[in-house]
Amino acid sequence: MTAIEVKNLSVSYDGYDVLRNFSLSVGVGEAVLIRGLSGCGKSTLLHAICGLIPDVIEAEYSGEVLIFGTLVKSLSVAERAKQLGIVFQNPETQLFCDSIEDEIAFGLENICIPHDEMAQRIEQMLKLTNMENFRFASPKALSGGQKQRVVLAAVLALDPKVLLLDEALSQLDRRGKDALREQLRLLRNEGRTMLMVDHDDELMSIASRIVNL
Amino acid sequence: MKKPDPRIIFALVLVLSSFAVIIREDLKLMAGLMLMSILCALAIGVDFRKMFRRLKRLLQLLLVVSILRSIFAPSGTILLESWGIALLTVGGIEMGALVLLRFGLFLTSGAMLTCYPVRMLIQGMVQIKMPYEIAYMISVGVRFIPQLAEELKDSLIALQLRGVVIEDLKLRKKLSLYTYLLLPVVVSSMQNAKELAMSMDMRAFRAYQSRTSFFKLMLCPSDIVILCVISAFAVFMSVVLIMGV
Repeated sequence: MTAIEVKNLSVSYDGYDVLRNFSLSVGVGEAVLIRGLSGCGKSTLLHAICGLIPDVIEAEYSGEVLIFGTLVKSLSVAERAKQLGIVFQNPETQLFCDSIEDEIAFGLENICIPHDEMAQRIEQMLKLTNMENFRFASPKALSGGQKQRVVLAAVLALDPKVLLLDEALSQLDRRGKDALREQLRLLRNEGRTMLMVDHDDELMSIASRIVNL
Repeated sequence: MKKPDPRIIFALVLVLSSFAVIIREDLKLMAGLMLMSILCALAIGVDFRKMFRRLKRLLQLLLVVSILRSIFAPSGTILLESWGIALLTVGGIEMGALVLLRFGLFLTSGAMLTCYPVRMLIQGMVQIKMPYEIAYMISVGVRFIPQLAEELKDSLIALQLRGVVIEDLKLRKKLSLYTYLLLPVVVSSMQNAKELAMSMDMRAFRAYQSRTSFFKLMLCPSDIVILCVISAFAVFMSVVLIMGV
């Protein structure tokens, strides 16, 4: 079964083509790495896949993006969050709550998960990302790597079928990169579908397929 | 000591600031209200020394406004006169003091809210039936103000490292420097805000009309007592103002 299908996708900003007739198919359980130089349209591709283009980011757009056979444009906000989770590059602009617990609970509250189930999922995510000791800490007090792990926990709490990573390691130090890479390896082994973009080869060891853009 | 529920503080702030606007001429009443708000703020844990340090310039400005008000709104006994024009009068001083107390009340009320974590304030707003989008909008806005200040500070440090001594610049040059800095700082803050919005959007923000809450505020008996006291105070003040006691 196909998790993500991109058909003849073209995106341009103010007449400047970033992607032209790009097609891609990602199967369920696959971990695909998209590699390319800075500015070649990697992030744009992810933004289009998760529906931020053209909903939030204005761009000229043609082609189709299907998530498990459904057009991404036709997914509601809640459905989209349950199907797709994305970790962006900069952890600073992805954390906006007072504590790690609140951060993980934020998405769950939005999709109206009952309190008990929420508590269970928060517990699981803290354990999965080794952040149990920081449950009530402020995100401001964490290192870059820890922050990105919190973002990952917050995204995974929604149990998305597909995980998208937009240069998620690029702003981390070596220790942070190693820790996050290990988390991602575990997710891949569990069979989570992943689409990662990166401008270097840091995520190559996790990928089951590499696509050069 | 346990802090009262933030909803109680919302009620208190609403009562205090409403009366600060309603009271027009009664200096004694305003002074009493100010005293009460200071006592409440101290009980909640407002650090007045820190507040004064932060708002020193604003307080100086308020003092100047009060003095000007005292000079330009003369009434009552003349205390200072020049060429037959009353410069300082008892009524003028009273009006100036009223302005100072009114702004002081607003500042103290605002300071009470800063004693609570943002999450508690948001939850308080949500539980008094304010739409959660607005509550989050306020919280994100509040969070971005220090970030904007931080970015401006970083840009200034970067300039200083390139040999520009800002303190030595003349006012005109200093102003033009700030004009140049403002645009990139605002653009960068807007970019951050956009990224934050994307992240919130992908975590299903505004997916439904309402949302569940992992963290909930519960009113305890002492909160109910405080709320009754605030209500009684509001009624008492209204009676005093209406009857003109």
